[in-house]
Amino acid sequence: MRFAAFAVLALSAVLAGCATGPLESPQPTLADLQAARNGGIPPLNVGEFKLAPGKPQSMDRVIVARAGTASPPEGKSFAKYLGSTLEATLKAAGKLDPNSPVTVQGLLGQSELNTNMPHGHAALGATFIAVKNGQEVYHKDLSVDSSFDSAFIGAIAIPAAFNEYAALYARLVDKLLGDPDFQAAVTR
Amino acid sequence: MNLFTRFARSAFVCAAMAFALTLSISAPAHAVVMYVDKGLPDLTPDQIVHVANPQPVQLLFQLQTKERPNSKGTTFLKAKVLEAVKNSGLFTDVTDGPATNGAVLSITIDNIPEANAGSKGFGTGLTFGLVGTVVTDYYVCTVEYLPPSGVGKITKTANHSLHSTIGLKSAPLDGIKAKNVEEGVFIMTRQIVSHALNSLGEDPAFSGTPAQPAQGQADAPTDAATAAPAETVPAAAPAPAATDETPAAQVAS
Repeated sequence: MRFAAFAVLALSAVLAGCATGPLESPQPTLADLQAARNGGIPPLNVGEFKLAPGKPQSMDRVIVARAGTASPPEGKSFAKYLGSTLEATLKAAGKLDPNSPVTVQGLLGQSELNTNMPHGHAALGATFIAVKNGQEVYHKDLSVDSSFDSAFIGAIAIPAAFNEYAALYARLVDKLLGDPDFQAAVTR
Repeated sequence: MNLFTRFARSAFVCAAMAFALTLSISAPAHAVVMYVDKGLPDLTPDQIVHVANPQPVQLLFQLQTKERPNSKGTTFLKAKVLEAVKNSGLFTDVTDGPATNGAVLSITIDNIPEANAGSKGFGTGLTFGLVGTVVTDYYVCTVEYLPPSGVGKITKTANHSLHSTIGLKSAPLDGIKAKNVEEGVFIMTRQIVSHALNSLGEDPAFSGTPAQPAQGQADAPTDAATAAPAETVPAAAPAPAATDETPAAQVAS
């Protein structure tokens, strides 16, 4: 009986996994860098990124996958993490300028992750606003999502799901920088 | 466990976790012995290419698992990749931000786990490790160099692999035993990156002038980054030989 209890406990530990902690800081790729360099985007300033009105605070603080939880890096919010991702991408491309007349702001409106078997799903969405010389020149909702294989064993599925979720931040930033409406708005 | 979460979908982790699940133990790290494939050894000094006029470069790195970004693994290996780039001697300075000349070096290492690693580990667990198993993680390193002009990207690849035994299993013939999983991953990273970079250095399009051939290598094939033997690579894995994807027009004959 004692052995059975131990076995159940140990099995639960294996199935649950133990992936907790902050996501890694954004690390731009060549595709991200090219997204920022293409389209004639001028150097930009990154302004405030915060949770969209009416959204629960928990959405900005934690993301859950089965028994695992992940938080934004450096104690930031996920909205600020999106801003940091944009900042890191622009910086890598030489397009970040705190004195630029164009400031990009964001409102995090969607942050979802599930690890259903056999396929998990992650989604991220935000409203991006570009302000040029005090005037709003761009205002658009953008979102990205991802479906991925989700393993039975939690210790495999949970970190893999967080990787998928984290990758959405760079994809959302690439989508913004590649949006012809955004490119036109910040260059004219 | 930390290393396991960074390489969550690797063949060795899938097999080890399946093994653990069957045995109902939580962390079977002790059960995994890692071997670095012999197919891509460290470059010898006379194999290393020297370029006449090294330039600064901006380094971008990403570890992937089956072509999907692995952020924790990227952070874990970034310092080792930076070290390999600096040791290559191809560049004067390696930076995170834009280089003074605008050149960019992007390095991606993609981990392709053996497809049935989980079931192999499960089988080993069912026999309490008496019937051991060996699983293989394949790695493809893609080096992309964007010159200061921003046009004429040069791409080189190299392949490598790590073999892991679980339970009672003799060492694979084509592997060199690592002290632990971490050392195995670090050695693989050093070797695969240095071979891909050496291949880049050999490309005349890289420096604008024909690279100085390594001593004793003048008659060798241009791509020194020979990879794991063909028999260790399954059909689903990429071709074993290092490839040169530079458009013909960019390569001086």
